[in-house]
Amino acid sequence: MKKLFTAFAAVILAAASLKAFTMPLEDHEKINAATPKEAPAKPEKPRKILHFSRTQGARHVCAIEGGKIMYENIGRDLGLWEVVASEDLADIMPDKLAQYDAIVLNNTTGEIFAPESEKIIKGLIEYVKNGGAILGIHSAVDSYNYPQFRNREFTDMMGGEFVDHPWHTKAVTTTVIDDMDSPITKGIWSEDSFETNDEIYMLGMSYNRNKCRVFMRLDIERSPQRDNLRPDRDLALAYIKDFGKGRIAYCAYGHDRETFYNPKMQELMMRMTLWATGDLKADTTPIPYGQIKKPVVYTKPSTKEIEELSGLNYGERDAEVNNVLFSVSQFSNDREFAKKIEKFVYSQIKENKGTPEYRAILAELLWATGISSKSSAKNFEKLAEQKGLDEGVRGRISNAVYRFNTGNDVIINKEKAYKIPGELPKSGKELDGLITYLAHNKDVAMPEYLKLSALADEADKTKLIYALVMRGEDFSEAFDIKPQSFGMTVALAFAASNKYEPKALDAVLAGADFLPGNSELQIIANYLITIKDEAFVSKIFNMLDSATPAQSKLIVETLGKLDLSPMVATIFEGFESKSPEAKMNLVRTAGTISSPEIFRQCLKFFAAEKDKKVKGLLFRTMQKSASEEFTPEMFALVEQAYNASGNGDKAQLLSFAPMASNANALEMCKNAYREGLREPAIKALGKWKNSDALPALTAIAKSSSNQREKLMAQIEIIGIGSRTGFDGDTAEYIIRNASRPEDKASAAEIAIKNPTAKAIDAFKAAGMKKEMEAALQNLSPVPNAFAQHPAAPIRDMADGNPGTRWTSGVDIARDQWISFDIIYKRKISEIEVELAGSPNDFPNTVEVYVGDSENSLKKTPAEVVRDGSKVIIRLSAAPVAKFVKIVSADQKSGAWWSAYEVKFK
Amino acid sequence: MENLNINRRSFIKKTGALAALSSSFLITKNMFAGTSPNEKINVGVIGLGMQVGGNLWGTVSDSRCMLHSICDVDSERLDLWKGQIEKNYADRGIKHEVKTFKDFRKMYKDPELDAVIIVTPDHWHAIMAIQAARHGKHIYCEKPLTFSIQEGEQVVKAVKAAGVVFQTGSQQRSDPSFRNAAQIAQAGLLGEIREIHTQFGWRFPVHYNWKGYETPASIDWEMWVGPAPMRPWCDELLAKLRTGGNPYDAPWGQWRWHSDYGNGLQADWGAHHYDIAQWALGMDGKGPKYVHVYNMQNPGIPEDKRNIFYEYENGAYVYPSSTPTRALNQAKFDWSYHPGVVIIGTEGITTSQRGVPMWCSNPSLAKMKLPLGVPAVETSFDHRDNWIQGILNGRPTLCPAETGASSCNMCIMGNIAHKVGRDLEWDWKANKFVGDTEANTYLARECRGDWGKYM
Repeated sequence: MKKLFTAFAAVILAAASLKAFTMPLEDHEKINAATPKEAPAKPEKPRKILHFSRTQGARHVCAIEGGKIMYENIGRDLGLWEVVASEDLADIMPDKLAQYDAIVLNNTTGEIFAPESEKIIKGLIEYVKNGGAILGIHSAVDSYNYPQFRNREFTDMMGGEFVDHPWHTKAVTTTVIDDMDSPITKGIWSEDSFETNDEIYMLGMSYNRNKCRVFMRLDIERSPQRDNLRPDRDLALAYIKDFGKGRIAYCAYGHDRETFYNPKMQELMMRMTLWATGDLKADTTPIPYGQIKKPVVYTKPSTKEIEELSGLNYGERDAEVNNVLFSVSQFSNDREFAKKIEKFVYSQIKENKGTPEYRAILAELLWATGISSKSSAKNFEKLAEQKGLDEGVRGRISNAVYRFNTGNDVIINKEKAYKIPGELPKSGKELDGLITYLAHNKDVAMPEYLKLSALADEADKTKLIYALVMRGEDFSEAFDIKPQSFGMTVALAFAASNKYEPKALDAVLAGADFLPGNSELQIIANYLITIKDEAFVSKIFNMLDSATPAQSKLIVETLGKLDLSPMVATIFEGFESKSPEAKMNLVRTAGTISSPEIFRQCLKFFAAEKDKKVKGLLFRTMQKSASEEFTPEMFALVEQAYNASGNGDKAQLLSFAPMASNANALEMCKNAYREGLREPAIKALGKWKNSDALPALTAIAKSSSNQREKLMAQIEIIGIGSRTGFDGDTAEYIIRNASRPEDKASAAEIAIKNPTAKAIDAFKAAGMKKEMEAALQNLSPVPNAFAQHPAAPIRDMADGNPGTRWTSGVDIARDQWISFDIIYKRKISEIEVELAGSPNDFPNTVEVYVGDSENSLKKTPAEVVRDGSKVIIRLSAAPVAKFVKIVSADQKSGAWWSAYEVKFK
Repeated sequence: MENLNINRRSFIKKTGALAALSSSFLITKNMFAGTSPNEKINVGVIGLGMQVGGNLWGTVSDSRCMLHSICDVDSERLDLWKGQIEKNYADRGIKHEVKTFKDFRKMYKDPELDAVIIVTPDHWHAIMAIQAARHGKHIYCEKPLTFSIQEGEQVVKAVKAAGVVFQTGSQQRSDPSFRNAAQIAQAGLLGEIREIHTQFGWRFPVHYNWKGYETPASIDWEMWVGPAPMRPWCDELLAKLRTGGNPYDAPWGQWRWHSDYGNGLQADWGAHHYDIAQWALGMDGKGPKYVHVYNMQNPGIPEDKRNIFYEYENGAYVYPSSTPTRALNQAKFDWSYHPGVVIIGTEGITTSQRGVPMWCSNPSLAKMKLPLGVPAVETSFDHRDNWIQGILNGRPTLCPAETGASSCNMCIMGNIAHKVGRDLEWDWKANKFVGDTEANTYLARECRGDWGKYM
């Protein structure tokens, strides 16, 4: 326990009492000793800094105090600034900010500004935009990052949000300084990298190195390996950025007091602060990822190393081959090196050195090195023509010469010009080719003869329409066409999505009959929803009134893709006066909207609807809506409607009761049963989401004289039981009375899985010995425990966890007791108590009382024996009991009665 | 939106040994978009490897098409497939003879041939596609579009000049899981897109020095190697058909990992997922601004010591081999959804994976309830069918050559950065790297021997 405590000493969950914590004096001394001796810049006037360290999450107690001391020291010793230290929201309110030259957020965490988050964040953004500055230290970015209180404006301004700390303070990581020349970093470290065991943060989406200047980052290569990192491996550790007229800086270091013992860190933070106040100027231009120092993976191979491949045969030494290929490629922009290799390759091949495969690899290197001069190219060209040269070599040399001749440019050959025929082609293929060509080459003039009116075949017309649309030419006459095929309908929809006019919709819908299946429906609907015209939705919706079945399908499909929630209030307008077909279309469309309002409307019209088909659709739409979301309000509406309905509707409405599965719904079902809607009630109860319906179903099964109903109820009982288990009474009933053997078996299975005392009794009474044993096995091994003096949770001695412990909190004395209910009567020969490291925490003598309940206890002989760390209470009479009480017959001062775990055997 | 009920108008007959792979949804249509039933589209298929089954059988079962000819460098494969295909037709009462070729140039000369499906190794895609275009054949070319960036440019140019219909085999665009995510992303409904994580393994191409063997009698090895560097035949590059049981029961297509013939997992899977990333970012035909390299030892491949990521001009990042576990857990992701491509925007996250519905952190977007007027994102449920529709009635294909090229370029530039170990800046307008002549040498590779005259 002690070990854990020390590790977390620096970071403790916020609690009012902890604010009083302060570091020992020697730590203060260490921080003082690290104070910078001089300032890199003199402020125009003494600055005022707000040191804000309010935390709403993990608290870096020592870093906060350490940072505060640092700021106070520097301010005082070097006369740079006055520090106002606060954790009060009042001090960071918008109207308080203008007085500060910079705000330091030192290890703030979580929803720091709650309950004024929005106000304060807005104020801070304004403040910085108008010329203010914020410097964040370490966990300052662990704020407003989690979904519960996410504020992207804040984290975007700060330039990053905490996502994880892959390296804790135990890990030694390497920082690399990409910008050694910045006034902020210059001269602090003598080399461009250093080791640290400060905690390393990884930032998320608000971080973008193109929006700030990152002068220090984690060197992934020289730090311990970690999984689950940012895929770009870009872990910034210190950056600055402009924000409006102001400045933002972030320093990731500063997890603990140790950071502040380091004079280099103090120097860094001092300079970052002076930059923030505007006194130290530094470049904020981003350093792109491409410019950061990256370790070189391969070393420049010498010709000797390459020569080691000279005996290369197929089927070996892949690693060496690739090492050579990749290493030469890496240095391809080192022209001196490339030339050297080029020369070497030439001579080796000319002199026919090594194996053919070796020479092929050499020739491959030319792709990386290139050829350096015209004369070299000429030589290689001649070499390529050499007789007997292996084809693998020859081809590669030729490629290198080719690349030299093209200057590494990409040469694209001219294509033959397409011959535009002088008159409308007769052949299908020629016409197709022409139209396709024109569709893809809008800069080529459209021949005069190519018009929609000149084409007889619908497929040809279709092709021309696409071409006209893709060329951006006028195609509105296409909408005068009456489609006779699916292809044309799609083309018209495509055209309509490109440039909409009302007649386009009529044209598309005219082709609705030609759509062979759902896929085609989707294609056209997806075109139609791209139409930006708002009038389009009401037009297409109103067309539902007179649409044919095929057209209705298309319209409903189209509307169903749109977010029609704005229409929810008005969609049912005029419902009563519509024809049955129009009503069906309307309800189908409404059914695509997920909203309790749709449910309400459907319910409203359901009662009065005379048309069977429409009524059925209304009901199914209500069911669909309810399955997505069923609110108490929706149920209240159902109740209302139910009470006002006739029996036919009542039976249907009852099916919503299980969706609520609450007390009212239960009453509704019970009433329905009493009023004669027996089977609907049983069915509804059977769908209950919890076990609350079981007593009602059991009562029905018991009392009903109708065999069919009885069986129905039993089957529903089994159904619910398999989802939720049985209570004792239900178990007892169903085990004994299930009429069908398969139901009896299912009931037994359920009762065995989640056994109760009554179920066990039922098994016993029914002579189902095997089942009884199985149920007993599954009974919780953990008894219910009670104690006279529970200083620690009583449960802890009976929770199956040997790590948790109950203690009485008072010295052991006579008549103190602990007692247990082991749920089902069993033979108990001994009680085993685990005392672990506290062997003295048990009375040496006890009295034991057993019985069926705590009111019917009888004493039974008990003997206390020791067995290692355990106390065994032997009950020589081996009583059969459910309830056990152990009473102390001893007293021990200085020892509290305790137990880690109690077992009954 | 209701569940899609994809109508199966007919089913695909498969032989036991040649199970069709999921390279396209196997839906066929009995539609007549104004074409007479007798005017079938004659389709030729080149490259009878493991990926050919889906599109080949799709064509055979498509009543609008006829499987006209097959082409492969291995006569054993030609014999096997000719038999299977003709039997399939015969079983349906159609007497049909499939023409076979070992040389695609001869295949293209047939005026009856209308369209080709190219399922060869990457180093052949360009020449075959370009030649097909110049011969007026419509083209379905498997991804990655080409082996080199120069080849991609030439293909785009050839197709544009030829008036033929082109589809790149990036069939994830015909999968609603990806399409829905791209639509939401493009419409700005996820806010600003900050990161796109694409989950696929880590295997950049390296040089494999496989043992060489005498070329088997049935194989025209010169024809297989074609414009790529020559080396002796080996089973790894072109597996011999196995005898007994499944003829394709061999580790196949290992040319993918060899830097002379393939572009590694970048092309194998990256081409799919980067294609989706480009789609979601609205960058089809364009590309990223930077490829960044960082050092990281590939635990599986000693020779591979680097990894890369992309950065777009607007600040979005695209990462290969990455799953943003932390962000997904924070958004309470349901891990039964399998993140293949994860799009992280400031307002929401989507995940997409083949055969798994899109997941979205915004529940109403997950149901694809969109505001009116979202930008169009082409809808298709069958990638090959989308191509045939393009041929029959001119509907733009989901993945024209320009799109295939820009997606493929992402894969290739990643490999180049990986090879030279330097961060590179990419100019997608000019299709070259900025300020790095040496890196630009990798944009093109001369076709070996005489093959260059077909480019």
